[in-house]
Amino acid sequence: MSRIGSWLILSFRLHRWEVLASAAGVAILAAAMLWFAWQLRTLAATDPSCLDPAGYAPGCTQLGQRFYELSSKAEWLSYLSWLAPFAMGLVLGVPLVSREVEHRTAAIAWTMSRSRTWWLVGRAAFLVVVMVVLLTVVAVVGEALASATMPAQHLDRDFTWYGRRGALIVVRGLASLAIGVLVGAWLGRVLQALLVAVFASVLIFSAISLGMDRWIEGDAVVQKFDADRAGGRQLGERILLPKGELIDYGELQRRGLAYEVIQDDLLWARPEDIGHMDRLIGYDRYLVVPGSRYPQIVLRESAVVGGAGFLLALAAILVVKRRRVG
Amino acid sequence: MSFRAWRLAFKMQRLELLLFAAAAVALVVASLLIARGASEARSSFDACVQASGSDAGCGTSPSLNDFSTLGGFARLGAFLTPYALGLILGIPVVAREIEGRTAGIAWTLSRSRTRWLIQRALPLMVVVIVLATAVGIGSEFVTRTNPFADYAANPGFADYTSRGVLLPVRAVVVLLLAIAVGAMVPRQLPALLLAVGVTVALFVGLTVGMDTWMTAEARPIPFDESGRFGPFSDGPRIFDVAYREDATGKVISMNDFYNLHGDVALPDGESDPPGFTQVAIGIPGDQWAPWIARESAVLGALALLSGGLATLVVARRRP
Repeated sequence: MSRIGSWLILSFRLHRWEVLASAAGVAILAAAMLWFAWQLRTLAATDPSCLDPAGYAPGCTQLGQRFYELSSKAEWLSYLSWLAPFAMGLVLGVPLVSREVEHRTAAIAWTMSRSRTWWLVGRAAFLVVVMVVLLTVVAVVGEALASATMPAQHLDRDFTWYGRRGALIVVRGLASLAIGVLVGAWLGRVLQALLVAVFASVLIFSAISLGMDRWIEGDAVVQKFDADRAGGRQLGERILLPKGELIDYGELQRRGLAYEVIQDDLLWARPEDIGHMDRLIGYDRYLVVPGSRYPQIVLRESAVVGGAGFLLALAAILVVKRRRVG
Repeated sequence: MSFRAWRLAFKMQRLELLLFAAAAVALVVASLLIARGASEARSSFDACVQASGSDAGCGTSPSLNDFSTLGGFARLGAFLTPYALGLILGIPVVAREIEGRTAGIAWTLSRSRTRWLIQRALPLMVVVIVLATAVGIGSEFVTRTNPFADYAANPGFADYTSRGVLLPVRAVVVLLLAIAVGAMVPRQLPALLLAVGVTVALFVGLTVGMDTWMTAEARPIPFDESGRFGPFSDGPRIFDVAYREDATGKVISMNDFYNLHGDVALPDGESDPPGFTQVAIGIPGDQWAPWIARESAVLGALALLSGGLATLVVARRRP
């Protein structure tokens, strides 16, 4: 048997339960998502005009209601595809080192290998391959379900279902894998490491998410309150002051600029001020990242998450190299 | 049970217990702060609206929306608490002993395997009940101070899976189930994955079963159009919306209505077709307590079954 073949078999045997559970989970999720996509496409094909969000078509109530009910259920599956990379990364990553340490087989495994780093890279490479294959399925099927749920939207430039479809799923999975391996190597006990890795993942990914939200504010444009924001990433309401400064409602309150009336998109302190532009508080506006920026934002977040994952993987190598075997 | 047995049970899972205790305390404190903040913000908003006659300029900082979002996170944490507690604490009770090949010694040193299992499981059961109850109480405050509802007196079925007495009951069921699965699959991670699957299947089945039971006893609830926060004030559990024929009082489902009458053009300003009134089909909020008692009884039976299964497996399996 070739070296690659024996590496594959050994790696699979070591992680059989986790890999089979992940594969079964992805198979069930993908099958369910494809079934919903097929149902939605069949329904949409019966009368495409009924799904035109721009207008009401008579005789469409029942079809529209059925499509809405089905797509609402399908949306639940999209949350599972959001969760899949985190769950899979931790379930596969945590036991990689911790189980060897807990079972006291780490000493044998590490002595038999050329180096601890070499051993870790060999074991992790198999899991990376498994994760990339399985999560690519989730990412692609997620795109298919999204396009069936929103047939009128151009999803290649649309933030709807952000992180629940497409390449970000795969990158997040690999970063979670790195977190799992690092925490597992550090603690050396499977369940404790899993628990700590869950907390660590929540913290790390929340921090990345908050940081990204601040970063993409630079890509946002100010839109009128009643403008079409379809496909854009909405960052919330803002007030455009007459001097051109853009502030949020919290800042407006901190500055003591109380308003009593919003007429059209104009904020006035009192009803009697309406029409006196010199007494205008500001314009009600929306801060939106346009849908056309979707590919760049995904690429940017993928780079950040991927970079963080790479650093965590390096840290895991360092921990494995330095830790005691038991 | 001796003090030594309690101390040993805590020592075996020290890190997990410390993490869960810290997380539960953090969640309860966060819930209480959110509830207090939401309550104060709502009072200030209501006072401002009453004084000025309009809600313009009455926004609070943090806003009512912010408190609603934070409350959602707290409720999600509370919802997940019984599952996390039960699974992570239950799985290693037997599985770690067998996986670490220490079960043989532990079981021989005890008077019987059943006694050993009780000594290990009982302290954990007390811990999950205490922590889940604390989280359930914190979450109860969050629901009762929801800034966009009037639940202070009676939340009914609102957020009923993430507050109150159901949390400790669920935690005990999941703990005993996890111990049973850990005894059958003596490797911790595979046992955890299997237990997650079994728990999801069990609780989805339970939810479907309870919903079917409740649907069978559901009755028409009229919409209250004057309600400040939507058409229902006391947190009913709504399963469907139907039409009631004004002349006969007969209730007909939406689907049956469309099959019989097709698309009916609504008169200007009206939300119901002529001669019909829309009603909700559900269980009123004041029926919350008896339904929780029923669900708790079902869960109690499941807990007994799981505990019995765990005892049986431990008594019969090879160490």
